[in-house]
Amino acid sequence: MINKLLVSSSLILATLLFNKSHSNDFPTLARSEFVFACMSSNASNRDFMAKCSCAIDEIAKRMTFKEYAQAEAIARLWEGNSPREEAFKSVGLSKDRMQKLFRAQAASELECF
Amino acid sequence: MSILKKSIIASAALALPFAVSANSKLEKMMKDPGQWVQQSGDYAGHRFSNLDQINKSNVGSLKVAWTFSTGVLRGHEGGPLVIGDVMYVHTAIPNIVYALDLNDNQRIMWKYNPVKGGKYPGGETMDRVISVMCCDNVNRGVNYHPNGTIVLHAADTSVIALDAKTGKEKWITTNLHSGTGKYGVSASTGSGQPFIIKDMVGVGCSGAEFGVRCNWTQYDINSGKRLWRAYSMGPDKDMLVDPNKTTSMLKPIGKDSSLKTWPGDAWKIGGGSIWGFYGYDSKLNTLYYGTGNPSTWNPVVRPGDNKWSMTIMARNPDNGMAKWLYQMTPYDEWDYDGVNEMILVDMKVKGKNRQALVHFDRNGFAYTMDRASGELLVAEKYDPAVNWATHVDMKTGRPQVVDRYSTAHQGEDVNTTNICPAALGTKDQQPAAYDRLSGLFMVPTNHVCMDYEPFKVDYVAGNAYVGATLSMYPAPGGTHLGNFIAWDADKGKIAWSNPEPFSVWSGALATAGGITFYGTLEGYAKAVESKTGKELFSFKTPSGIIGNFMAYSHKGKQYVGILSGVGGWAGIGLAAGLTDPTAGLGAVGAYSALSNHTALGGVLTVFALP
Repeated sequence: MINKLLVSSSLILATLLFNKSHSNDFPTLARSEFVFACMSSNASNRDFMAKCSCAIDEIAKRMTFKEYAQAEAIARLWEGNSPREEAFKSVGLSKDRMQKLFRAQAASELECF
Repeated sequence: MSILKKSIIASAALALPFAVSANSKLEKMMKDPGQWVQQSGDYAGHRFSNLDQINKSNVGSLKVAWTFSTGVLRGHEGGPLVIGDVMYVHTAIPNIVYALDLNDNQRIMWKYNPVKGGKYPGGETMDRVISVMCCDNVNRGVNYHPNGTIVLHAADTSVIALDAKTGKEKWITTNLHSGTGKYGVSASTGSGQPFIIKDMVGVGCSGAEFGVRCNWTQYDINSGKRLWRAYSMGPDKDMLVDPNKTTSMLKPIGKDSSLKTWPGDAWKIGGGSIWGFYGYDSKLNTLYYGTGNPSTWNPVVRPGDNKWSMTIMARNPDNGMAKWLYQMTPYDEWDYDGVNEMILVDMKVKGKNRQALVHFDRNGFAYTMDRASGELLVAEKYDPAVNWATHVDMKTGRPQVVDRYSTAHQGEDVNTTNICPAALGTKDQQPAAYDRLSGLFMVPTNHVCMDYEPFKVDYVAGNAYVGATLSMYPAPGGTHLGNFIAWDADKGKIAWSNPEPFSVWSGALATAGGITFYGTLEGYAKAVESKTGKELFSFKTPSGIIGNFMAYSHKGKQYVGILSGVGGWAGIGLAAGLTDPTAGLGAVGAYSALSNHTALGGVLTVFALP
């Protein structure tokens, strides 16, 4: 009983924190772009429109758009290997943002695909 | 400016002696705020637009007027030109040039691609050229000559003169095609703008990481004939210096000033590349540019000052002879290339009127020089994090290096830690703007430090020749990697500073509307009040911004344009990797499947008021 209470109160706490820190603020354009790309690389049909829409909504629940935009910028730079891109492979900000993105991606994969 | 006025100016200019006419015509065009006729806007490199329709009270309502997708991946540096009613847009490799008709919904009038059958004009394959590009596939833009020529400096070092009306090739010469490489190829590459002075076009070269000896080469604009070439290092005659007349810190440089500062013939692969943004003063008839790092990165193998790498050079553009030189970082141990832009401003320095040159060096010092004499006036840190030197000795001009941060002092295979700035400098090539209203310089900066470990390398021509291991991180005491600052070049002080999560790699534009534009790596195009730095506008473009802002007017309306495009993985790449999260960013197969998606390439975004 006590255990259950603890669990449920921590769940409530988690929910509160979750709502506080994640504003679900992705612009429609960013969601559309994601869905378009996701469909292009999977299949351009109704089924994948639903799956890909679900995926970006799940990602948007788990990070702010600011964090997503930063992760996007880091991801672009990770592809390069010039000195200036090297700078972004080891920085703490990069690791944090990418970890958060990968977690959100993994969760969206589980939820939607 | 009406067409009638233009033709009057043109015919008046033709009446003057020819050598003067091209210059004066181009300079007149630079004064017309409706056009953007040179990469920096003008010869002085102010990147200042006199247009004030978009100003601090209305910039908040700025909207996207139109966009243009270049269809090319990878980094888009530089920016478009506007000549009359035509806009010229360039791309990263393969270095396509588009002419867009501003009178007809930006219809493509012509498109020029220098790569034919997979090869550049110099005979190199595009793939080979990409393999020796140091730092992404960038190109810093085309320039215009009033005889109706658009000049492209392609990645294989070819200088290509195109008919501005038709896009047809007028002439092509490959600047450094002979090469010294083991593979019979040159490791030199072209990324810097071709620079127009009078009836000449000059180009630098990239490739210090590959052990080349770089130079500035000047060509005749009408024929493509080579006029002169000045190396960054080597014998006096190669460098076009006069031991008695060329000065540094106001004193003649003397005989063999470069040779004496290299062990043996190490100068032959001495680097000193030139790929930034240049300046020209037509009254002093002087060209200004900076040279890059000495090769190799490992300083242990090249004891000496390694002259004249890391140097501001002032030359007579007619014959190349150097007037004065100033080496900012003798014996570079950190890769602080001296290539950044030269901004020419007539201003008061310490109470005296000066013809000044202001230069924000990668080494973290901002230099104010007398551009006529080469006298050093101000040298101060423009990021307080800079620690590799305590200060610049104003008598000798030498930075006072701190042993703790000297990679040579620490030795080979020793990891020297917490050096600020990192190798990419407090600022890279992304050019600053000069706000003529406030007298402040608007400077995009990095705020990054590094650990640096040099190691021994043997040189194989055409192969990377770096010889150092790096790791980089934000400067201590913060998590942000960049700042956008306003700099007072007289006092040598920061007026205001806006932190940015990432390094600011886009060029700035200041305008008579009291605002300054710059872009961020997340892709935000921003406008701030020039006087205070207060953010007034922000818009997310489709990709990261490393291009330079420009402004023009068309049919009475002001426009502001910026190229975005960092290439690689956009959000789109993140989506592509989705079905295999473990593949993460390595899902190249999925990526290529998206090649038809326009958002992958560079995009020009043009803003206007509604």
